[in-house]
Amino acid sequence: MNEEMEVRALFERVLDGEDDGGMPEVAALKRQGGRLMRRWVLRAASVTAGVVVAAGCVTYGIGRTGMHPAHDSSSAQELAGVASSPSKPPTDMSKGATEKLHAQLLEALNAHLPKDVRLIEGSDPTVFRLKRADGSTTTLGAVSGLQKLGGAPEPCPKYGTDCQKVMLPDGSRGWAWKGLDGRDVTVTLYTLNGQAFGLSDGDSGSKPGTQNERETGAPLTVQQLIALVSQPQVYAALKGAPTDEVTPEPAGSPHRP
Amino acid sequence: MDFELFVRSEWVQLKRTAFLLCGDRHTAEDLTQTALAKLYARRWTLRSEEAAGAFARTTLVRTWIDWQRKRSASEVPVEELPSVAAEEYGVEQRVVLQAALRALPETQRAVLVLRFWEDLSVEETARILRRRPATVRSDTLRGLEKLRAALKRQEVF
Repeated sequence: MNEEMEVRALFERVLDGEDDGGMPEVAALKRQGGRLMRRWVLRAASVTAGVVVAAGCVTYGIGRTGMHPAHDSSSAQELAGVASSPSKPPTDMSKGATEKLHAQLLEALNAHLPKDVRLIEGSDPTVFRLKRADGSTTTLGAVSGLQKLGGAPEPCPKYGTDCQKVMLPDGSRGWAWKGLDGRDVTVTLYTLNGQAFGLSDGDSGSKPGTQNERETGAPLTVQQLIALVSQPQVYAALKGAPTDEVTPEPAGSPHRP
Repeated sequence: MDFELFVRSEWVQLKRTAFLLCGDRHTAEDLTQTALAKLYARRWTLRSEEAAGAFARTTLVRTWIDWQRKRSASEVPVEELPSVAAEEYGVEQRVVLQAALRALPETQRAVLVLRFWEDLSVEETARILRRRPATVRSDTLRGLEKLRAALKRQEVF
């Protein structure tokens, strides 16, 4: 018996009698895979960056050099002289919490989506499908991820195109961009406490009624997605999306306006 | 690539590879599920079953190495193998074999599993482990030597 066969025989003895167990739940694997996909989208746009500055009124869609945010007294009051460390992002993934979040997202998105698309249920409490008049669909999912006080650098040109800065009235700041292949559009934002949230729309899911055919719909435009995320009802619901990637102690300290 | 069919056809083999790497049934299951979830997230970029299989194996091994690095403080290498009386061969023999495998450094263990269980070439193993082929060759020799020495004492190899 040669060396290769000897080692293989040894491995077989190690596995001998080992219960192969039943098959995994494919739906659970798909949910886990979907979450990973949305995290990768976020990671693509969040490497390192400077400290989040105080935000002002909604000033999305302006150029990098032209951004001079107005001072927002409400967000300033939340932080100035009060907290010495940022609060943690939501992490409750219990059924009750996710069902409540799902209902909030459903209501908020339904109220503010463009008229030519219809929202239907997706594979996850924070994942939906957008159906067009021609029957084509895309998958719209909430983004969550690691808490990061530094916010996100510009994803373009390495990870996307059409990058636009996005600022919300609550001080959250981030980027909207189209994927390099044009098949997905994403808005990722960080609150002043470093919580990541946002929305991503693309053809990453399977065509309804099929297992192996990719969706054929065109995603919302960058402007449409920015307009959607900028709705107070929508971003309030998105900020409720829990993350299972919580840093033990976020580095740095929150900005003091 | 039909994900569901792929899971059904590859689950057992992937889990066995994972078990040889980690030596623990539950961790092997977690590892396999994680590799398959990562594969699902990238499924549109994988054109064939073959490409999916290669991706799954690569992800499985790299994820395991990543977990090992994160958990390195909690795992204590086994220096002394459990002794087995000649008449107790059977279940106990598996324990000795598992312990001998676990006593190997993680990359040597991965090299042996990929080369002799997955039947991968030196070059394929090197690509998966992000090492040079020469390093894989020397890891193979060192791993085999250690395994032999550990099992010789137990008269298994």
